[in-house]
Amino acid sequence: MPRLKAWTQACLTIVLLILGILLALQFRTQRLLASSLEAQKTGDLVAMWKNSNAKRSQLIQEINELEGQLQSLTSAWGESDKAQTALEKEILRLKTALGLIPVKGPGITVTFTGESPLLDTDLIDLINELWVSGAEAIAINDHRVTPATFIVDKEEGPSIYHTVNGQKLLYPIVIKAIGDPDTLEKGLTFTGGILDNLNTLYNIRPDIKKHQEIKIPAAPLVNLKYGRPSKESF
Amino acid sequence: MAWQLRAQLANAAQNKKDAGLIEVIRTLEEENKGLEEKIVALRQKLEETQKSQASFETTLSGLQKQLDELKILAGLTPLTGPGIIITLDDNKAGAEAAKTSSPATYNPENYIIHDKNLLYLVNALKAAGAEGIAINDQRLVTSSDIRCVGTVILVNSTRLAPPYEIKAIGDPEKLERAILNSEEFIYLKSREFPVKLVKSPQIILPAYKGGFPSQHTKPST
Repeated sequence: MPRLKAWTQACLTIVLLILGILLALQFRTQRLLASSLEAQKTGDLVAMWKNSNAKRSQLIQEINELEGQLQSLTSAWGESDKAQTALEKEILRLKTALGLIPVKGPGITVTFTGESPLLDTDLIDLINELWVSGAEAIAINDHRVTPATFIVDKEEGPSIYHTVNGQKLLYPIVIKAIGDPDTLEKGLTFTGGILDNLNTLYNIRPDIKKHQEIKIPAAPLVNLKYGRPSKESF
Repeated sequence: MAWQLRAQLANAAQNKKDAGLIEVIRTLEEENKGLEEKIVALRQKLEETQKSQASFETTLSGLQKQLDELKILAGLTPLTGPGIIITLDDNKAGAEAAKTSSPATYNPENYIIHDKNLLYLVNALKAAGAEGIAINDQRLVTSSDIRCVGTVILVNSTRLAPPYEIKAIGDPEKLERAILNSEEFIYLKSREFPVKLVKSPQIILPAYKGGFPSQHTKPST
């Protein structure tokens, strides 16, 4: 008897299980059918169509709006890009003018050997004459000439030595100048010019060479201690 | 249950006449889904663009700041600060006296201020730490030249007329000492040129108005 009872119970369990599954399935189907378009009334379908249509135009409007924003951002980007290029170019130009970056280019070298009885004023004149002749960058023994550069003679016992920015200058003194080599050379060597005078008066004959490319080192940045920009225009 | 399903389907079949409409709705819904995806993508792209643009603008304003500082150092802005003003003029009185007393040996060259006087005084000012210098209205930059053509002095290739006023910004005491001890100033004083030096707590230098030629110069690495 207990065996039969167990068998009945098992059967019942299976039947109920199947019934449960069927019910669940039915419920799902019901739901699917209810939400499917085919189950809708014509009036509702029309409403849905209108709804979808309205949504579509909203979405398209939004897309247009976003695309417009993106486009104006991108074109502003192009402007900024140009602005950056312009800024970087100007920064480079001013750094070059201030001697803050190493530079290269065609130019000349003027070399004085230890026998030259040079004075600081001769060197000052020479640098000035190179600027007059269109030099774009100058160095004296690898001291880049900047707005602050000065040349001063110092005495050391019986002898005199030259200093650039307070640093002793050793012979041979090589002055490098970037610019048009011919113009630079002529600016120094014309009759009655600076080298002509040094030659005839003091027998100083520096060696002048023209170069396709010379390199001139950078000078360190010097910050202002006393001066500050003024709003007042002149 | 099977029967119920059948009934439902039958009911659905009644709507067959709406098939066209349903098709339109389906297409619309499909399209809208696509549009929504496009919007999501656009928003994302917009956000990315805005972000990188913002960081780009930081870069840009950094560059602008750097340029502004360089402009000050390069003499492209008026500069103000303490300093000294040196005034030099031709020795007209001396010239007149010499002309009448010894016309045979009179040399007008000995009574005018020369380009070299200015050039060496400027060098002395730089040696004393001058941060900015101007002669009359010409601000000196790295490539400024001081020369004469005939009896006219040119600075930055601009003609200047006496009296020459050299203004320098820096430590006034140090600048004054350097100039009073400079060979050039001592020489001019001894030759009775009307030269004058005043310290000032605030002087203003004009901005440099010329160019920075660099046709031949390239950065080298």
